[in-house]
Amino acid sequence: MPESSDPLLKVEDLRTQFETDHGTVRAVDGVSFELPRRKTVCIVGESGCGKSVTGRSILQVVDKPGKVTGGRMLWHGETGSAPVDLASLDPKGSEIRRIRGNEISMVFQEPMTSLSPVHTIGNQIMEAVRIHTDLDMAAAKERVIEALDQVGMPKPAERFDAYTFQLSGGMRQRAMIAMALVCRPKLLIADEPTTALDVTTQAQILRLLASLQAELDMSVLFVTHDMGVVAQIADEVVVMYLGTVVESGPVEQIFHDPQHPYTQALLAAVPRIGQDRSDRLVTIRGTVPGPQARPPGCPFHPRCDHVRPGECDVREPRTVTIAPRRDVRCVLAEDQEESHE
Amino acid sequence: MVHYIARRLLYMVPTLLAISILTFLVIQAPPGDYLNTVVAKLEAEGQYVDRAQLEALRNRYGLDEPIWVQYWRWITGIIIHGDFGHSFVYSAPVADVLKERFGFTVLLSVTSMAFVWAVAIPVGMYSAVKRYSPADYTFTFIGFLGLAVPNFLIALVLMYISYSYFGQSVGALFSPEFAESSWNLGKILDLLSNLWIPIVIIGTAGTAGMMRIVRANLLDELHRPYVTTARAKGLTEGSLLMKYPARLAASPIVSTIGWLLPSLISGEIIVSVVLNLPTTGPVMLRALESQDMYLAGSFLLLLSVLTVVGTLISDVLLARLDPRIRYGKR
Repeated sequence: MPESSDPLLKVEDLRTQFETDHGTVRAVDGVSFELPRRKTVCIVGESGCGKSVTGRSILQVVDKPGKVTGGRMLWHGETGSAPVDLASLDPKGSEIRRIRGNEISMVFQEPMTSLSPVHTIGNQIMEAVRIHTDLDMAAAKERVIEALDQVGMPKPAERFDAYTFQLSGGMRQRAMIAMALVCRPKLLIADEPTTALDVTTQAQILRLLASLQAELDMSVLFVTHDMGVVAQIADEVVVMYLGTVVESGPVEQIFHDPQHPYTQALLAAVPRIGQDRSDRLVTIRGTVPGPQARPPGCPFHPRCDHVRPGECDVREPRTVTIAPRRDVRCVLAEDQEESHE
Repeated sequence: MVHYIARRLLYMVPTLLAISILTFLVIQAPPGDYLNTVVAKLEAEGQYVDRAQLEALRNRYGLDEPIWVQYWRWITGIIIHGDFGHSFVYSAPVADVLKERFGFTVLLSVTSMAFVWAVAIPVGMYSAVKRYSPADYTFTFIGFLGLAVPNFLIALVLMYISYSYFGQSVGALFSPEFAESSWNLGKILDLLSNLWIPIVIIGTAGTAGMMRIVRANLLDELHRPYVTTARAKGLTEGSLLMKYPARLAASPIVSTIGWLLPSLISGEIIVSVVLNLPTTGPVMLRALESQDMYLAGSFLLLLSVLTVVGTLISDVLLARLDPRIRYGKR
């Protein structure tokens, strides 16, 4: 595959930590994955698995006291030129600011709180244009209205002067997407952009993102906990658990041939239409441990059905590449690899 | 916006009416009418009381008429003629007593307010952005010190220091050699050299309090999701801070601007008394002590009206600042 040799973004052993009064929280603990050009990659996992922090680490906009402390994020924004290691850039410096909102932009979960309530959406979107282009006010405004139109905002010229509280949830998220796309980024990081929306609006926004992706030729990194959303939009999937990538691969393989016990449990927990209503919903036993109580060895072992005492609770498993672009981090995969050799 | 202001102005009318009636009742509250007090005072001083003059006063205030007629005369006197009544302590019309001291009071209040804002807002913002830094701890320490130490104590200490080390006479706004002279450059410079002491004294407590408010408000806003959004757009930290969190943090501060208006004339009473400043504060204190009801009542009325007007100003500014209020549901 040509994409694998020339990924847009290559994340290697990313570590993001939060220094708190109660010790260091390793929110992202050695995450590696690749983002192919013009593809959608979904990061899935339960709350607290570090999927959002991973997304934010790429632009180094992790909330305080979080900090990218290790690893590399090689950004191939311009083909031909040398890649930029985003992890090495100063989070307040001008290099990363030039990339933010311009080459890589973000859409956040809750558009009501993620947009300023006291500025018009036009003002907030235009800001991105004014930072990254030399357009004058009139041209910038035109560009903003164009972007609003592109995301399906009805009467875009009028809505330019609207405040967030005057818009519906779906319209707000459209405004947010227009803001992210107004500078034509190569990568859009979408951090649970549909979680706060009702199902109908959610479907509209997903369709919109898919069509814009094709139209603008960009990659999308989609952070979500919703397997249904993953099935709908993903080309590739990265499954995370407690700050680590447990499994990654093309979407069909993840859904039809999950290798990691966690991925299997996650998929088994998805309710299905036609399911007998007297059946209880399947859950993964136990709960996600708190950030301070990270278990030793494989982080998933206390909840795993295939746990091997003396092994899983002692050492961390290796990440095994079982096929091209297909990684599993589990002792089971290690066994298979050895039996092949 | 015009509609909003008009509605707010309309709401003010019944409030002001109620205030004026209450003030009038307070003036009438002491036993006996106003003239009894005057006569008692004059006789106590062994002065002769002119019956004809007494009659004239009685007519002027309509003291033989029913109470609502008295109210009507009092309030129309204020609104139409600016006649607030007569102060027997100062033996002069209330309006003249106030006028004499009004300029200095406003000068002092406005400059100390400017001092408070100029110091507290940047320091508070810095403290919030660099939370738990050594500088933040230092400012916090100084702030609590400023809040905890009573103003009059600072006044006394500063007076002592400036007199014994710099030989400067504090207390009053002018040095003795300029006190009676007419206005000239020297007098203005003298005023400025004396003004800083009350400004610093009055300003310290205000600065300390304001600093804490600015810091707390900004801390509330600094980690809101819209800040991350703005950062992800590529905005610099500085312009980010000024455009988003600072603007939202300003709302609670703007909403207290209205309270500054009444403090313009109530001033810092104790500091003014200690420093012997020619402001309206000590006059109010004296009026209350000696039951000079027209003077005290006028203060009460002015303070209340200024509070109402100040609240209106605050609300209009808030509406300018925050569209959610401007477009708010009725």
